[in-house]
Amino acid sequence: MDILEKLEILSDAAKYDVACTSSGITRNAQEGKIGLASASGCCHSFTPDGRCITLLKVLMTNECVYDCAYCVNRCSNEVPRTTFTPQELADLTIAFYRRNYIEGLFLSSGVAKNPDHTTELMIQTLSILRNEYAFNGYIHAKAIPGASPELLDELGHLADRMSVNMELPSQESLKLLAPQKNKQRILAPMRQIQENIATDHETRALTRKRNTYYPNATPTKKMRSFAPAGQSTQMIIGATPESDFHILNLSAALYKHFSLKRVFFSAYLPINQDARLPQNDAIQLNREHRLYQADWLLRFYQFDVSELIDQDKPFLDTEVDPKANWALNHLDFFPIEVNSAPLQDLLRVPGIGPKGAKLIVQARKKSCLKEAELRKLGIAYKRARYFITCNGTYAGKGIAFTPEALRAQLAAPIDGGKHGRRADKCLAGQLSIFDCIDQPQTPDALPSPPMSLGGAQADGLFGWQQAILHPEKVRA
Amino acid sequence: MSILVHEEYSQDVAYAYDGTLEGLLSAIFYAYQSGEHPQDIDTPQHLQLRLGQRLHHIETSTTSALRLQRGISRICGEDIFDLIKHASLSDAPNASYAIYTFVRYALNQNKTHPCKLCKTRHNCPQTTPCARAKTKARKVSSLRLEHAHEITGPVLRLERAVLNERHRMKQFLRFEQTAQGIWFAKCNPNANVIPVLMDYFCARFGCESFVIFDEVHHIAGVCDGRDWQLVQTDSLNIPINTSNEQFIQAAWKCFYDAVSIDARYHPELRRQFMPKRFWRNICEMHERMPDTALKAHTSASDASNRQTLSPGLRLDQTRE
Repeated sequence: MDILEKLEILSDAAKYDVACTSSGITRNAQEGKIGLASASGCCHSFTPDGRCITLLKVLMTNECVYDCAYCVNRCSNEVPRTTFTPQELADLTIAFYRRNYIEGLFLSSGVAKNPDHTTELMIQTLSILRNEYAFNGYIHAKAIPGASPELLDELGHLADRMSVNMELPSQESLKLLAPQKNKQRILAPMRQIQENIATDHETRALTRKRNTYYPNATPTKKMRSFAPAGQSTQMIIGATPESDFHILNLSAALYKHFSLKRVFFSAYLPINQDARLPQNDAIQLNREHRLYQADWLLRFYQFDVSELIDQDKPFLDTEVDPKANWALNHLDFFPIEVNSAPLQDLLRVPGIGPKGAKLIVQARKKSCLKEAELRKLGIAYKRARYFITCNGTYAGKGIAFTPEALRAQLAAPIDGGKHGRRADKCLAGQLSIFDCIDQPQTPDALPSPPMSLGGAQADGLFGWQQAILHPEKVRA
Repeated sequence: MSILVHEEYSQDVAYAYDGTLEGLLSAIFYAYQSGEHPQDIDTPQHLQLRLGQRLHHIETSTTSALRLQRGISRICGEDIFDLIKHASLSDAPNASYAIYTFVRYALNQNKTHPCKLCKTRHNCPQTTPCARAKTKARKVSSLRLEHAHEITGPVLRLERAVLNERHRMKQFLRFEQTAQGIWFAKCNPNANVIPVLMDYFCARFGCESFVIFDEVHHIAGVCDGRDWQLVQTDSLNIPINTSNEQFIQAAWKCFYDAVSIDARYHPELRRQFMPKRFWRNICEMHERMPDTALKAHTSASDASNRQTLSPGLRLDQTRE
């Protein structure tokens, strides 16, 4: 098969992977090596759907032994199957990298034969890139659940970032849609990656400086560090009835216990015809957007997940963003004085982001900040004015300081335009699957798991969290 | 009181300089030397004289530019000179005047600098603060924190715009391999960013030679694998590409088409991240542009090239 055809098939098959970031590590150019990496990442192109292309995102192979209902590459689908040879893929990566098309390689794969065989193919590709071509750019590798720990360790030493797909937010859904996968099989490599990163970090910290009286124990052979840019994961939302409350709690637990860099959400797209999947042909893009907004609040705004969402209202507000929603529910906290409020308070104001808050803190040392100055700093003054005072004056006069009145001012529906199938986006909660379950929100509404293997239950609202915290107790 | 330049101090004079950083620094030096407060500083092409205004052409002098650079670096810190250097690359109208007022303000703010009482300060060869002063100097100058100040703010915003444009170039440059093995890329930035871009691509490429040509400012950055130079030129002869080049571009277009998800089609978002003004130099976007736009541009640029034939090739005019 021609390499162009292969590229077309395997990149088409990889496009549903959401993670495409080249961030998390700064690596300067080295003598005799090609490329570098910067912590902020760099997007080299944007597809017609507005998503960035920063890495060459391809599958090693689209042959797969699994039969997951939602996946385009499931073994029961009749699509052309092909596999890159490691040399072909490495050549292509270098050719694209030299032309400044990409920042590196994103290598995922279907499971051909077995996880070990697939991982070995990936390792071969990465070692050609790193050792033969002396490629110093960014590499993101997907760990295949079920591969042996030794191979995972080798892969991690070649890649910059590792990720394991979480696929679906609950064990119940996994059992329904991806019967060959289970929770512990997914969590085990994530745990291993986290432990390896931590060990590697510690070893490096110890060997870096002369901190004992003994001769310095710098290893003679320099080894690449293990996944220095950390790990990420992704899950499909909207294919199964989990609430936003469930999803956000899960991602908060992942950040906390697995020290993940990112949790990606991917709105479910109807690709396959399957009775187990929602068939209403609408994509929950708005819900995905709100979940990402909430995710940003968790990572950059020092919000706690309990502040964003509670079990009584398990879905995020579609009208206003989560931060504005928090502000409207905590009007007693506002207005705050921009010229004196601490950084963490500024971060709570709708319209002031992490950058804006930092600029305010810097700029107010030298001058008194009023409307004109705030606008110059790039603050969304139109939104922020209801929640701040500038040198004692409140600028949101004319609007009653009540949740209802302010909500009308802050309501910002997500306007996606009228292109393509965006016209038939649907809202959270509008699902037509699980005929047995009408209200999927409450944990006891979920059907009880048919078999228990002893120990704590892995299912229910906090099933994954329990599995993350107590690996020995909770079995899949 | 602290702001030195007011309209009433200004005498009716405008400075015209050659558009380079050296020229701008020479003009500012001249303003200090002659005790004048020019109302406008700009290149002769953009300068529009006010009623009754006298025009003074500034001769670019490397010695005075270097002396001013040394002074700014010593008194305000190197990061402030970097700020001036970056801001001066901007194409924005009034950028030069904003920098002039900023230099006056910055030097005035730091009147009591560590070199003030040093006996050898008049013939001190150092361009950076010396060891004694360095311990006192802060990492980031406090001037850089004055985002809301009426003189510093505009210069900080100019720098930010230039660095944003530089990042855009890092994203959207597309190299082609020519037959001699040299990589070539064309770009149309709205600021003269090639001087601040070359170091990045030198590092990225390792030890290969490449050329980046700026169609707007007619400046090329030439890297021979180790060192780089700037060349001001209007004549551009691109050698033919290697045979492999077509294939790789086809592969890239194929990849670009394959990764898009139709169900999420959102061209406004793409346009926001990848503005249309760059599309003519991004190879995967060519087929999405109307042919007329591409043709119109090429003929227009040819015409403008003919009009502004500069005095030939000048090698290494500014090396940052």
